[in-house]
Amino acid sequence: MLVLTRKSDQSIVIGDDIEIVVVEIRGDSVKLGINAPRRIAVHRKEVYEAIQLENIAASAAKPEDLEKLSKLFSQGPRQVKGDDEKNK
Amino acid sequence: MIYGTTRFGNLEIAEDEIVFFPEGLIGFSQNKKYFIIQHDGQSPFSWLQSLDESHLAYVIIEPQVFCYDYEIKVSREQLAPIDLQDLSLAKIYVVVVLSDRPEDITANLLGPIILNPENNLGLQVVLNTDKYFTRHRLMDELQRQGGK
Repeated sequence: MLVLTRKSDQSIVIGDDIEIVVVEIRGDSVKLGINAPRRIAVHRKEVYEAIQLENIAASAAKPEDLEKLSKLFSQGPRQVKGDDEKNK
Repeated sequence: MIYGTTRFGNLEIAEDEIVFFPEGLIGFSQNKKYFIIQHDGQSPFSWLQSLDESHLAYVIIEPQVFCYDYEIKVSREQLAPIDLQDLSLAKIYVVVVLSDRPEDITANLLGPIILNPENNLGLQVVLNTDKYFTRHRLMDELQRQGGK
């Protein structure tokens, strides 16, 4: 991995059209500004990975798994209200 | 055109029924063509079936069904790939992860799917918020709404 030292307000350039600016350094946090073309998606890594994992988990679904659940939902929120009253 | 799917057999789908995701879904950027299948008339669930890969399908749901106050903020830049100017015209879905126990079924409210009904373009966005997570229990959300 290429490691560069930068100060506040300094930046790095990746290729022709991506710039990453160190906007602010405070304690153990660094605020970064990213200038990139719209076609480049920029995400916080842990959030991106979490959503990727959910997508992978979701793609394993089978129609029969949904059958039971659909019955639960077909009556809508009314049924849930009934459950609430039971719990009181 | 006829597309083969592992769950639903062969489907005859017209060009204008295909939803195109220019960037794919997150982690599945290669798969761009999808078709939405309503699970059945009564069910709030639908399937987002890949037309590039026969075995790839997600369960999706409109979040308002279980989270009435679901609200998202996305920038104009984020919506550029689907050419959407006005978020209120969009159709929004969230991806559901099923489980044997209904109470363990979760929906990903942090990474909703946004469809532009005018051009059938779709996009999965990552919201910049602390309000939503990738795993909201559907039953808890329903309970929360019902108790109001």
